[in-house]
Amino acid sequence: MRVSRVFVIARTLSTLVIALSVGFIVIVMTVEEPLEAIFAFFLSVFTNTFYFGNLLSASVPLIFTGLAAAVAFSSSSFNLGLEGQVYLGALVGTYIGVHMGGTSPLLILPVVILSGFFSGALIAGISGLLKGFRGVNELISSLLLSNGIVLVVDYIIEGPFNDGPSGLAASMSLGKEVMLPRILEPSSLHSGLFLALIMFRTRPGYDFRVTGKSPRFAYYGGINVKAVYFWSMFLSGGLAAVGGIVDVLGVHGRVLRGFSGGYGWNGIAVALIARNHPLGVVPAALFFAYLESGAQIASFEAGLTPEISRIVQAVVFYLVTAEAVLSFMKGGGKVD
Amino acid sequence: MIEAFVNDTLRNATPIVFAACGGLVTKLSGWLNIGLEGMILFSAFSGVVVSSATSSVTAGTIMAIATSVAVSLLIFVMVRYMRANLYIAGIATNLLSSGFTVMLTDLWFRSKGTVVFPGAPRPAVSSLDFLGFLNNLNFFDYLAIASPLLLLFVLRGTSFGLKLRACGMDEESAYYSGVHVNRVRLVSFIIAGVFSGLAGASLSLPLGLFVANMSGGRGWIALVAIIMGRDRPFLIGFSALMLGFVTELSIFLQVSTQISPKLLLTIPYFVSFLIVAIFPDRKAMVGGKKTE
Repeated sequence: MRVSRVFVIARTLSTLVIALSVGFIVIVMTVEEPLEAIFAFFLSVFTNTFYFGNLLSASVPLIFTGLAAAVAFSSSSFNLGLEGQVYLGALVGTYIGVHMGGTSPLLILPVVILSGFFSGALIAGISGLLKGFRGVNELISSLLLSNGIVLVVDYIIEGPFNDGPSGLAASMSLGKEVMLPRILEPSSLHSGLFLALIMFRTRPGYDFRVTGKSPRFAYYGGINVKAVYFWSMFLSGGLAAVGGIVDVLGVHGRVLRGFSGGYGWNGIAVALIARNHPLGVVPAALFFAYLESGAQIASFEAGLTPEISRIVQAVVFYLVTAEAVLSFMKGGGKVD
Repeated sequence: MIEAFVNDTLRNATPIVFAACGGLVTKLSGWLNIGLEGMILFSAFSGVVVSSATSSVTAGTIMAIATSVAVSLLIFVMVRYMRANLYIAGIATNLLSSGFTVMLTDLWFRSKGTVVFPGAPRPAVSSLDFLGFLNNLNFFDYLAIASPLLLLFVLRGTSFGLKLRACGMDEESAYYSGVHVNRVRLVSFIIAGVFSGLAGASLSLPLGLFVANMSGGRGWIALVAIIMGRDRPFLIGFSALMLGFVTELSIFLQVSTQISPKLLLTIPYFVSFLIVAIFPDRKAMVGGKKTE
């Protein structure tokens, strides 16, 4: 079915509006002072530069996980292990950074980011290899690996790599000198542009997209489909892991237990809203960062359960791929 | 000691067997429902709440099944009528379940972790026993043992089973041979709902409590059992039993050794991963696209 770009955008926007309205209704039904909660959820973030700064910095890892999900989706792979890859990338990068302490930050930073990238890329790459060569469903294999890895990382930051004196469930800290500026919007924007360039202007990007449209067509067209499955998962896992380590470098300075909670699933939602377009990922990530910050602010200002953002997120998931949303606009819209 | 271990293995396998049976029916219909995890969680919650409120295990079980069927139908409606992506709708269900149940426990019981229902009745435990192995098994455990048999009969012995498999193999041929493909899939989603509801009820009712995210990956592990069992009810039942054993092993080692519980909890996931890597699904379950 051919659909115009305007129609797709209208459908996406209506999905977001419906999802937010559901959030709105849930707030009204569950909170004693709905007006205050709604203000806190939807508007507080714009009233305060601290909140707004948090929103921007929260969108950075989402841009990376969104790009990660988009790369996998565009070659018809489901990477459901983003959560674990974010967490692992953060841990491996931080570990290497801590052990390189004293060296010049100019040397440490690239090593930290690259080691994070490769840790996530290899883990996701396993699922890609298994899919290509053994026909193993990558959706399940990546999810199972990720669930296991999250627990292993938890163990490492609470055990061998714990920051004992702080008493926190957190790893040791990186030196201040390697920290990146808190708001990394421009740099994550660059990675979006870069990925858009790869996807739409290079041969591998073309192979990815053709495989995504029809693996069989790609196969008969001489594209190495197995390699595409591997490289798209590899790149996807690597991007997710970079999201994790960048969040550590920009915000926490260490791996906090569960800090990546939600980055993975939100990343998938971001890619879906962006229709897998690397440039669409940026506004979509901002939307989800807005949702998460709104829920956080409303939870401590108005006693709202922050899980409300999960519910809005789920509604987005239900509707975002639904082709029948707004189908009446196209003359009748036969729903069958 | 061995008796207790076998016993706990059986009880751990119960929800996995149920969920795997439900998942298998949807998989054979061609529309694999990956929202099992969320359906189990929703029904575990509603089941224990209602059984506590009515002091009736039966009412709780019925409520659990009704909830799960309703959620399964929600996925079906989204996919069939709103033309949403099947897997994304499944993921949506899993996300919704974890957010929604925590919100409700917070609202109703002021707790985001464990909610204990002291007044909730427990399912009766049978007095039947065999060398201590079947000690303390309840209604759900026996039903779980019977489920693969029942499923085998439905799949091999009824015309519905034939139609179901036809839909999964080639929906166009099935359609032109007069099978109501969508109706068959609707029924398969209802069956999946019933089984997941039983899985949820078998988790929360015997304990009389609800824990946030108490489904604990069982919906996914059930999918692993389906892959391992190569779509055959008996093998799936056996695979689920093995996965129940692995789960029990990780619990047993936590009690009896000094190894970090966090590391032991990874065992079911990594073992499941190895299983899906060893038993590939040539028919490429997701997307249904073959490349070779």
